Amino acid sequence: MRRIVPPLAVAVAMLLALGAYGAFGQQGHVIGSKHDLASPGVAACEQCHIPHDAYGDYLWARGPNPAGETYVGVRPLCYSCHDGTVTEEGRYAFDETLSQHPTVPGEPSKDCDMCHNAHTPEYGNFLLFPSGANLCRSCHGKAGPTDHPVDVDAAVAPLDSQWNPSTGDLSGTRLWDAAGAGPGNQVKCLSCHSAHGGLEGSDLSTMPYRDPTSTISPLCQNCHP
Amino acid sequence: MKQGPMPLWGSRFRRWIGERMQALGRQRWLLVALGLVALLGLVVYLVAFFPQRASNPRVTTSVFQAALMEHLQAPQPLDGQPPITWNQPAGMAVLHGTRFVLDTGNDRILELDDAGAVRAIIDRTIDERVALQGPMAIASDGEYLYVANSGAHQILVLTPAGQVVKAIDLANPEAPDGVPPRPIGLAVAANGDILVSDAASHRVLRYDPDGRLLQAIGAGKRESGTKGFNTPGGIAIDAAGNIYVVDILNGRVVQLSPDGAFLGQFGELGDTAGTFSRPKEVAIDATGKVYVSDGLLAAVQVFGPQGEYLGFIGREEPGDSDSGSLFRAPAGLKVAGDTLYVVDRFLGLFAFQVLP
Repeated sequence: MRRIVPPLAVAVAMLLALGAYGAFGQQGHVIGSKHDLASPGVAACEQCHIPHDAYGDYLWARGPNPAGETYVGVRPLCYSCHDGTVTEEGRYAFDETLSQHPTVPGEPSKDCDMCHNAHTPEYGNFLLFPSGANLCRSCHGKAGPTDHPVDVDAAVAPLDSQWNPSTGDLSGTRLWDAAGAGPGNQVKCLSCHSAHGGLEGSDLSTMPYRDPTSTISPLCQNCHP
Repeated sequence: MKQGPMPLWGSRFRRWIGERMQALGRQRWLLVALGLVALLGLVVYLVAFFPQRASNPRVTTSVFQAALMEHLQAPQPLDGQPPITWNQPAGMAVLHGTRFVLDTGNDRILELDDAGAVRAIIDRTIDERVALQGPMAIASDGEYLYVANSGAHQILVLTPAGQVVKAIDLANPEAPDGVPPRPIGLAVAANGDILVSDAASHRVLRYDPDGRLLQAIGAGKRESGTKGFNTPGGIAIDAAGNIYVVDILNGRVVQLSPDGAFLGQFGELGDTAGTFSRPKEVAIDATGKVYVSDGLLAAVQVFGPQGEYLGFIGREEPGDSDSGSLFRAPAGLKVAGDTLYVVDRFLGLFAFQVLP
């Protein structure tokens, strides 16, 4: 009996460590990523988490909730850097004059954290999954044979492949690499749709699908001239 | 291996205790008494310690008395024009008594009249060189407006009417290390020097009025202490010429001498009184009080000239620290006379009376 106790203890400790890694051990992903905002003496964790008097389960630094209750949870934390100060990237995602993917403010996993995780830099833009490839389908179901093909090489390049919301260019279609992490030659969901800055009332299309004054679809025409 | 039930830990322990108690004889009552005293001590500790922890000086505990005089969630429209709104405004300057709001999301500047109505729009229709790209800071020297045109890596010097006097290209060959600076904070010194917070190189850059780079303060990478900044943000200059720089991601305000030498600092990362979560801008009033906006704490904290914490501004009920915040994302600050202006990225312009 005594002989099996030490290996058993080691096994239990390893299991606990693994569990702790799964739950809390994502620091290693942040270090060296764009979210590693540490300076000597100021740890990367501190930028978003504080051990005492914090807000919510994730120990976020936060003041009292504003009265509006639409600006709570993780959203203020994201905007506190993505507002044009610490970074100019992503400010358009908080532009209330643009069409944005619906969120439930303050609900865990239903706000910015629906698609992004500050601890996973692997897939570009800190997305939970490779952009376009699996991310959209994790909620929107799988595109079937009767849908426009995605995850395939495009036969022709779009007329406007410059879609880049960070520079204010919110129109146009764009091709992605296979992982969906950057520009490439594959059709993805995000070739026609944009979670941030799509057209109002058009399933977040980046270009109008129908033009009331024309028999030609501007969106389709962009790749099928 | 032994057969039959294993002796339990508990029974062994009880037997051991029993034997010790026997050995102690009458002294066991002394032991029990000592135990009771220890228990009493624990109760006293818990009663005394926990309320103290609960009343830690959170940022919600010390309200600085500042009367809310005005709140413009959106500006009034021009006469006869359709309604106008700003989009994520980042700052405000006052020139000849007129307020100029930096409408960052719309790449323009709105000149307001005393009633908060838009008197003029400054954008490229006034002067095609006013090609603003996500401008993050605005200041004035009493004669001109200075705009940190962040996305275009330049400082624009404008007349109040919006004509370009000078466009200082920060990405010129003199730029440090060839990295185009991204200016997000700005102040003009009494001698005309322009101090710029460069988020790209983590430095504060000093330019002469002709746009020549005179000084780069910082290490060129994320630093702390006296070596440099993590992300320098808002800049303000006090009556003596000392420079106050918000170091956003180090959660502090750094004080520099007029020639840029490190004098001191206050604050650290946190969300208790006098600490910062995401400090953005700084302003100094005529009495030397220092105001620091914090986008994450949804408050403006107030400090004395030496960095002593005086309280914070931004509750719906000015006397009730537990009432909700007036702000969502307070950013730009400007003191004009007895008034502190706060520009909130989502809720527009607030004016507080801060001096008697």
